[in-house]
Amino acid sequence: MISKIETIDDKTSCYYIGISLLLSLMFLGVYAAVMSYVGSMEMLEFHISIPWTMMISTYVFFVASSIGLCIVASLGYVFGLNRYKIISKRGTFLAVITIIFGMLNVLLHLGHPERAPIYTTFTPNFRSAMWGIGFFYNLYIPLIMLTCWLLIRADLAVISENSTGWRHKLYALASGKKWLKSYNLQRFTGVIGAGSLCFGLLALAVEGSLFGHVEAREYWYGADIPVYFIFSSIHLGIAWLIFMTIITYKFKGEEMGERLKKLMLEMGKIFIILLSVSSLFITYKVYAGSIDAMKAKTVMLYIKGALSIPFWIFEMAIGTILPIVVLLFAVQRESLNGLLTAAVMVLAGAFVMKYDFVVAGQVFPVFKKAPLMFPAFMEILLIAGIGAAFFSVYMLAERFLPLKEAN
Amino acid sequence: MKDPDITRRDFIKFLGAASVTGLSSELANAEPVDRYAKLVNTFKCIGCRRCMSACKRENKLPPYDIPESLIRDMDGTTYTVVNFKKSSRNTEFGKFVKWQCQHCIKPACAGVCPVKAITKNKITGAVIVDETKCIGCRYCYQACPYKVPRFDFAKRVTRKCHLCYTRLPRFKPACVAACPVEAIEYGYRNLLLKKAKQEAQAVRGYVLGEHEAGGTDVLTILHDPPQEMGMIVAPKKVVNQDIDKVRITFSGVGAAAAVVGALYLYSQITKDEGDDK
Repeated sequence: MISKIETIDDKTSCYYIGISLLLSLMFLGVYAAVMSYVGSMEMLEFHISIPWTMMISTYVFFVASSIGLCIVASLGYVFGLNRYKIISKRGTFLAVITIIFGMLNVLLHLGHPERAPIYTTFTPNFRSAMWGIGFFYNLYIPLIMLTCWLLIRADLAVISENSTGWRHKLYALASGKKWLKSYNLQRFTGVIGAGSLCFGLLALAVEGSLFGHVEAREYWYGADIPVYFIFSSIHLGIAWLIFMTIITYKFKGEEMGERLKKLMLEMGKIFIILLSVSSLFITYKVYAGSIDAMKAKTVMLYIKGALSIPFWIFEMAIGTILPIVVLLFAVQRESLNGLLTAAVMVLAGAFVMKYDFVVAGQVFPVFKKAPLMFPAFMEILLIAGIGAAFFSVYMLAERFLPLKEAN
Repeated sequence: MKDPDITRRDFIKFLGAASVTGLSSELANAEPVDRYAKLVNTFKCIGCRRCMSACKRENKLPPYDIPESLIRDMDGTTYTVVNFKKSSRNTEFGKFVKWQCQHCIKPACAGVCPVKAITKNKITGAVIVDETKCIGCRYCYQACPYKVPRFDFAKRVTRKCHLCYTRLPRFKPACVAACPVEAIEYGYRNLLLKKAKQEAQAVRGYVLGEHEAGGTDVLTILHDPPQEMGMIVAPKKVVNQDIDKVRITFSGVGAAAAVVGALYLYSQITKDEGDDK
């Protein structure tokens, strides 16, 4: 049973506090971004010798989430499972905004983002994984956006029919009914969705390779990193879908339909399996790393060094073990609150895990002793701003776009 | 038209003879004999740091702020540093070690740059960053076995020693020209390597750059191997080989294919009656 908190239309004090908080964070994020351009980008880094920090880890977190969401949503429109079709719209829309805000992180991190599209086109380096990422995301992003549009355009047309004035015109334009008469495009949506799934997965494989290729960074180097990137994206996708769906229903004060609730619980069961396998992977990573002379020093940072608190508390306890326990209870008692709690914990744990992975890989061989690896204040502001903008866009979409599941 | 000087049979005979004598592999791996390189002899260096000043002057870089710890590190506007280093084997004596981009023969940084902003000149030995092309991603820094390419926060690009390539090969790099004791030399790599080996043998030293990262175009005579000197140790092979990159990427592609397969299986196993065929 979903307890009613506040409805957006009620515009209670809680609503205004939420909006003010999001706007304030966005303002601070814009301030940090502007200052890094007007002043120096150095303010976004906690150490000159560790150039990839929170912005890169947040980028990795967001793009992995996007592919994960695409994977889960594709079960409906690509693999034909009807019960998954009800979450296809929300899933693909979330995949679109997570990839866009993920890319925003990396664009703000580049010294000259304006040169990237020019020179990756005219002087591409096919040997570089970074070029490969750009190539595959350039295919993935339009396709996932097209998939999302194909999934919601029939509903946009319905809204257009039921409204008048500029609203009617705007939704009619958005539905594209002038150019594309048919709404029965399931097969076409499936093909486009399959394309976005394939290119997304390839992009993520190359994303993992970006780290895996770097022989000079012993902790990152290896063929297991791309595999882990692909695998961990699935449970991130499930966590996002559970979190955003349940929290939306709670904030709107609406009752979740029986089909959707059943699907949430089914995803909860898959979630348990994926988290269990993930815990095995972490165990393998720590064990294999500790006996590998090249990686042992970095792994020791996790076990008893500078990253021990984030690792044991966030990655292991909050991000893996506790969610399994919570999910076991939640699935048994059919508790959506339990699912929501587990999803939040997994997202928090995964966010910290990505940060640890990116930063820890850069410590050796530059430093003899690991420095304090807490992100710079301005970088935190920037990431908070991007996060706030992400949630604001989602709220606006939830208000104006037909993302709601058909019960 | 038939070449009167060399027939196909002669050519095959030559190849056969060459393979027997190992000449073909030699030819395949042969470096150009006129390849240039730089030699730094730490046994001669007196630590005056004129090379640092000359580098700053030549490249119009801002002056160096002397750090409190007196351990100098490279940054976006400091392409070379000289630090006093002691070996863990012999802590009583130390040497001034000039450090800079090692100009790898097969540079890892050039291999990862997504826009080909980094190029290697095989004759002069210089690994050059095109600052008008660099997007400032800092992937080159991550890939470099010595962590040399540094980000210039003012110009928002990666910068590093370019071996004063505009002066080459007619003139020497600025640091070489400025050294008062000829501790830095610039010349043919094969000759410098031969000389470095002889000098290192005489003082029981170590030639850094002969094999490190597959060989570099900066050779340094140290009094002990780099691990004893507290320096970053590069593997004695080419870093970031393309075949390795392919292997790693395909592990990810395999995982992606496995995920698609797993999704298909899941959809088939859990398919309801009303689901799409």
